[in-house]
Amino acid sequence: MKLFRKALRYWIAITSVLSFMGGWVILAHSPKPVQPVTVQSITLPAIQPFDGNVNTNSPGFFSDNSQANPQLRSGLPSLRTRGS
Amino acid sequence: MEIVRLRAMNSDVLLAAEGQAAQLAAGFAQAQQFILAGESRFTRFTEASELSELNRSAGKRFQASSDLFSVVELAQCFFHLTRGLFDPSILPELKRVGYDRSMEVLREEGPSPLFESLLDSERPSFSEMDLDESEHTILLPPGMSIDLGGIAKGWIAEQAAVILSRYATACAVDAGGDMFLVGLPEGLEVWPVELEDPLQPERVLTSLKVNPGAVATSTVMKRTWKQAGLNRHHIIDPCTGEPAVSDWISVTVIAPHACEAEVFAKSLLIAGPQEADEIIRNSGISLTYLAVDQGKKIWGNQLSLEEIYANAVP
Repeated sequence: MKLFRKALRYWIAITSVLSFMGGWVILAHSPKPVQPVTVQSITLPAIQPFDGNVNTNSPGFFSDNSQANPQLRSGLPSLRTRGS
Repeated sequence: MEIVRLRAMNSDVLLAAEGQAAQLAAGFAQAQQFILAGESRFTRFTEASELSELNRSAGKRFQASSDLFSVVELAQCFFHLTRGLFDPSILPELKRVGYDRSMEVLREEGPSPLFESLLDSERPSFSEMDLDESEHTILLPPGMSIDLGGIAKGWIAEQAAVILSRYATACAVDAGGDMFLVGLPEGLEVWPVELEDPLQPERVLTSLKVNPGAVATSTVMKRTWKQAGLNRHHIIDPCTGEPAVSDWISVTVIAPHACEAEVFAKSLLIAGPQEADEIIRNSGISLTYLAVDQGKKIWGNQLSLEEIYANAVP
């Protein structure tokens, strides 16, 4: 009986250690969790349009520095990316 | 700089080139011819197009032209690079939500009703398509049909620009806002490109300086319609089969090639801010992106924003 108890104790100890190590290995090789979001939103300072018709008092990038149908310098086409 | 405008691919197309007038005339003629031929090959809105023929051939091997094969091969590559966010095989979903005719006709006649019976139908994955590079044949699995709208437009714009560049010192092809730029206009170090305000199209949100290469924008604000009381747009999320719901309303991508810019603008728009950086990292392509949300805030990764800021027109 004593021998059986001792063997049982060893068996429990060894299987516990092996299970722990097995779990460690599985977790180490599992896919990484989603990385924290690094995308940032930044409000840029005012950017002036091409021609001389500039709103120099524009307080911010997204405010009234935009204008209807601005013209590029002469000879250049007005290239505008707008989505489709 | 000489400019030619035409209407093709349901878009206003602008060709601009600098060089000797006599040579430019030939260049413009060839580039226009290429664009119109490309449009008739890649449109899904006419039964006679090569793309429609390919879609009808699902289940059998289709002998493709080298142009169609090239674009389909690129589409397959981008499907894997974007982990399925770019998926040309969403055509059945696009039709189901009402985009079954050209946008011009759809706006004139109104959308088709919602075909609920198609909701549960399963379609094969785009990864099941088989390409034979040596024979230039394409095998779409039974039940698959594809739409090459955006990627074909980008590809045509770039090819047309390359044709035009043989006759010009610098040129640009702008196909409805998706553009490819070759060389630099005399006296300039970059191309000035305006970014349209997605919420107020008559206004410019900002102006950028762009190096030779490609720029494309995808937005959920342009091709929109109502179907059975539901607001619809043409950017379909392949995961849901429904128009994408995103924190962003517009994404602009600056990339070496027009197809890359077009595909990643669409993919990032679907993915939104949570996955955007990871998608760009995984692509292995040098991409700069700029996204706009409902509040007109501009988003991007730090590096991109710094580049864009550095490149902003002073």
